[in-house]
Amino acid sequence: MEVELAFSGWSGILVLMLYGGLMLAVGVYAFLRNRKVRESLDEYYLGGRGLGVMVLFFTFFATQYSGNTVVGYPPTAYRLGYQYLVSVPFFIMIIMVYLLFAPRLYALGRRFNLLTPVDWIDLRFRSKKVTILAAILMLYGLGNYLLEQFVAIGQGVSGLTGGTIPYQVGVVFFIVIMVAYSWLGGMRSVAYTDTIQGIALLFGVFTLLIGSLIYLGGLPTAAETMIAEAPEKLGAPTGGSLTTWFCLLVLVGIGAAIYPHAFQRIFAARSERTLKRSFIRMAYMPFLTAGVVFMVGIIGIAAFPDLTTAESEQLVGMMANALANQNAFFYWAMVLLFGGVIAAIVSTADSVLLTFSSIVSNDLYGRYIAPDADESRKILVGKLVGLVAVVVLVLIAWYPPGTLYQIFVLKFEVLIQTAPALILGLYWSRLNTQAVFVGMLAGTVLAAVFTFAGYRPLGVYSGLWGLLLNLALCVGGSLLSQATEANRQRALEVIGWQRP
Amino acid sequence: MKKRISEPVKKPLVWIGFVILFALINPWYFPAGSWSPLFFGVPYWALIILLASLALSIFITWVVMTQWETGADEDEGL
Repeated sequence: MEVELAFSGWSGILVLMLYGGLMLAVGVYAFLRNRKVRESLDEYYLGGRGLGVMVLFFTFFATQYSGNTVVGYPPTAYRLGYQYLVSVPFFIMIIMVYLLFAPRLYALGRRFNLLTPVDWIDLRFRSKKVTILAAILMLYGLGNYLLEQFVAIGQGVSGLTGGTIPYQVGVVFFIVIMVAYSWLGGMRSVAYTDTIQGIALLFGVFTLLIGSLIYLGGLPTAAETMIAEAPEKLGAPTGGSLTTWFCLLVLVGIGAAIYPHAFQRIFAARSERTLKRSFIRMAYMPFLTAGVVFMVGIIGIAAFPDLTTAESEQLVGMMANALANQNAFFYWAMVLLFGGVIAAIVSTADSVLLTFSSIVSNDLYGRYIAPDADESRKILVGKLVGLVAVVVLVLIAWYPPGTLYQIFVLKFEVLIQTAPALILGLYWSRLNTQAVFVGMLAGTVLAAVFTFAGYRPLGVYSGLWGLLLNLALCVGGSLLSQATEANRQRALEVIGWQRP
Repeated sequence: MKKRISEPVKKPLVWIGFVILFALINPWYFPAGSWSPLFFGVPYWALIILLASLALSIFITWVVMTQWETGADEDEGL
């Protein structure tokens, strides 16, 4: 962050230390409550399939709303005006997409004790090729996602502490704490810390909004500024911005619902009722989070006019400074807000790391390398491989390779290629294994090539082009090939409602 | 097994509702670039989009409460 925060320095360090201590305490608590956690994959990776409504809700919340929602969305609203109101409905779309697959997936998860998204793909297709390809794509996408969070943690910490704590120290401090509490309590630790983080974040964004309304002018003032200087920020979208609006609704809706760590959380619900109630709450959260940070960005239009794109990226820091200078309450509220932002990034990173380890434990090591190993050993391997990945990613974050940097950018483009296997496979017994494999591979390659070449035909994102090719190959290949009766019967036994 | 199994994805009414609401949360039906009247500084079309979004949330609530019943937990004897 280039803008020096008025409250950076020792108050920032104090809040970060407190936060770190609290997270460790949660890890120890989760460990003491359940000492068997290291002996069972279900206990470690899914919290014993026993997450209640509140904790499940907050752990879904933390996978959808990260520190970026608070720091990155207001600048976008500042630059685009009401065109970025799309950020409210696109979060609701995620829940809509969940409803298209979660009911059946949850039931299958219970019946077959599914642990990871790859577990489901293996059960459905019984194909080593497809399972391994899906596992690799997910590990790759999750790894890059983790890398992005580490970079954000470092920037957040050095911004909040005014550079007193250097970037590297901040990253190492939080990674050590994150790994420690994840190892202690597994999914339970992650979900409990998600809950604390969610509450901190909600408190922070609301004080930011209230403070902005009191001290920086309300929406009518912002509207007057826009009428005078940039009426297009106020007007209904047209042409290209309408296409962008549509693409965002579709991409975010599908993409965020099938992120492996989001997908896996469906298996962790205590009961169907718990899952349903968490989804209902999630359906209203966009108004309280995306809607609130959107308003903050709009208020910024009048409060800090004429910022360049680069300057506008610092908007939340500028607003927080302005509020922190008002009185002691807002000073500490803003310290908590930025602590909450870093907490939100850590809590996204811990979920990603846990899912990463679970795929290694269960789907690669447990399935192909040592199927006979006991569960505690599988967990240990997942933890250690996760740790190695973390170290490698931190080194990449510090010494970014000059030429191949683009391969660390692909995340969403790659992850979304598993969607046809994950979702179509739930409903279509004819879906052909070979077609799924070819589609997934071709879609990934196309998305990667378009991304590297910076090619975006018709203004549609590369990941979506890959997904279209992938879907066409899956559906076309399945229709053209003759599914053997035995294969269809087997698929029906898995996805049909009749008992085997 | 005589359980009544109900999945949202198999209900035409759910799909119709989602399609209509999806159409309503895309702002294609307003005159391009229009913003007047403003309500407390918010353009009329943004309020309509927010109302449509709220309608989608309420519809999701209805779908979850009435159209989703798989009895998955009874399967496990829970």
